[in-house]
Parts: sequence; C-alpha cells; structure tokens
Amino acid sequence: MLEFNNYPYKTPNTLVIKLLNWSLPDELKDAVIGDLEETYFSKKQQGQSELYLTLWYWRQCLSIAYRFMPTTQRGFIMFILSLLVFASMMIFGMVMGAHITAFIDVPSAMLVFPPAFFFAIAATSWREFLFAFGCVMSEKKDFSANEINASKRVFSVLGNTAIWCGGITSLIGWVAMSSNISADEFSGVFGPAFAVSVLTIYYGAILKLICYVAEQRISHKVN
Amino acid sequence: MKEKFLGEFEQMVLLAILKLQDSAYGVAIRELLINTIARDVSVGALYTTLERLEKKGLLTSSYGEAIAERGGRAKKFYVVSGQGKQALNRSKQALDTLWHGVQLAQGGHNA
Repeated sequence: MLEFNNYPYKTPNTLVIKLLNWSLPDELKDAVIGDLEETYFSKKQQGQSELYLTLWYWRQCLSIAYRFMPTTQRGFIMFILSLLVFASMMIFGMVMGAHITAFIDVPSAMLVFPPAFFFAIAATSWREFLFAFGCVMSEKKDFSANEINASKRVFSVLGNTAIWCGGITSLIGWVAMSSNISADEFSGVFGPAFAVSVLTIYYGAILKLICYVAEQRISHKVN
Repeated sequence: MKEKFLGEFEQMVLLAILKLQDSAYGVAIRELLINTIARDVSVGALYTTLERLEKKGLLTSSYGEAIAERGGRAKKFYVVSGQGKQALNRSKQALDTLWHGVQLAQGGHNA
C-alpha cells in the first residue's frame, strides 16, 4: 500500500480499518478497503454529512466483518464459542448448586485478577503481553518460534500466577478464620467464611483454564 | 460433473462485469447495479459473491495501480472467464425455456 501524506481526507476511524484488516482475507484487503475509501470520499465531495458518512462506513464495515469472519476467523470464533459454552455451563452449575451471588465476591476477584495480570506483564513485557492476545485472535500461522514461545510464556505466567494467587489468598483466609472463630460461633460462621475463602482458588482456576486453552490455540501457529 | 446454475445476483454481477469490460472493479460494479436496476448492494455482499464466483472459476481478477482517491490502495479488476460466459448462457437458456409460453398480466397474475 502506498502512503499519501497530503491526502485531504481521513477515514472515520482507525478502529474500522483495524476491524476490516482483521476480518478480511489478505487477497481482498486492498480492494475492499480501497472501495470503501473511494466511495466515502466521493460521498463526502457530494456534500454528505460527517455523521451520515461515519454511520455508513461503520454499517458497511460490520456487514463485511459479519460475512467474512466465519471463514477468515473460524478458529477465533470457535475459541469464543467454547468460552461461552464453558461460561454458560459454569453459570448453570452455580445456579443449581447455590444462589449465584454466593460465587461473586469483588474483594476475592481483586486478589486474583489484577495481581495475575501485573505479574504476567512484569515477567514478560507490555509489548509481549499485547502481542500474545493479538496472537490468540489472529488466524495467521506464520509466527516465528520466538514469538510463539514468548506468547505461550505470557499465558503460562498469567494462568499459573492466577492459581498461585488464588491458593495463597485462600490460605490467608483460612488462617484468619482459624484465629478468629471461637468454638461457640463455629457452626454458624464457618460455612459462609469458608465459602468466601475458596472463591479465590475458584477464580484462579477459571483464569488458568482460559490461559491453558489460549496457550494450546497458539502453539501450532509456528511458521 | 453436474453443472450448477447461477443465482440471480450472481448473474447480475457477471453481466455488470461484462458491461463494464476493462473497468470492472467493486465501486464501478456497485454503481452500475444502482444506476441500471436500482439495486443497492453492500460492499460485503458484492465481494462475497465476487470471491465465490472467482473460486468457481467463473471470474479472473488482477490488481491495478494504487491511487490516492482510494487511500493509496489498488483496484481489483474482474474479468468474466470463458467458463463464466458458458454458465451465463446456460442460465439464460434455462430461464428463456421456462419463460416460454408464460405471460404475466399487470400486477403479476397469470393471464
């Protein structure tokens, strides 16, 4: 693609171009995006409003993504579908087992997810971290062995840190419970306190599972 | 091999490309369809059809030069192949045969 720095118009949003580049097959990218740009500029010269043109561009872009994604991003769609199936099965299990609010605890989540992400970024790098997520979303299979190893390392560190954070904070909870609950109140307090304390292991295990699937998904993308 | 007939939109696209001759690319095909038969198709719908026809061997394509009006991107020009012309002829003959002896009164009811 040529660069035209002095061209008078700019496309509505770089996000649209990113979505098009992601969803279109390589052999059609120039043709389709070029057609959209040409029509956009032609409509603009005819005096169409900016809002109308932006909406038109987005509508065309979403229609293109909807039509081409099932062929160009099949693996990623299956990955998302498998996560949705897993999430729905998990919610089904939670609803059947107890009230769903018993499985939601913001402090427990804060003890697992942010530290896991920070550890993963610290152990790798921000660039590798973002690249790993891009690698999962991409259908390309021409990544170098180094890129794949770095991306796998990101998910490995993220998943393992999550499960370790979950385990350690559960232990902290058990120590706190044991040192604070007296024999008189044990039967009434132990159950709810124990349930909350094991939620961190549960959250860690969920993140570990997702990271494991992501790691497996990128492992075969070496050129 | 069993010969397949073309869908209505596939025929329209192939005919538009034949009419445009050497200047058949996405924008021109869409404009021709709007101006001649008032059919405003989305870019996505047009390109999925073009891609399908090309995979079937009914079209061939080649890229032109990148130009500024397209943000520095090239046009993809399409040409109907011999196989494509045969398929168009076959579909036309089939439709002509079916239409033979059928007359519709105004409003679409059989006369």
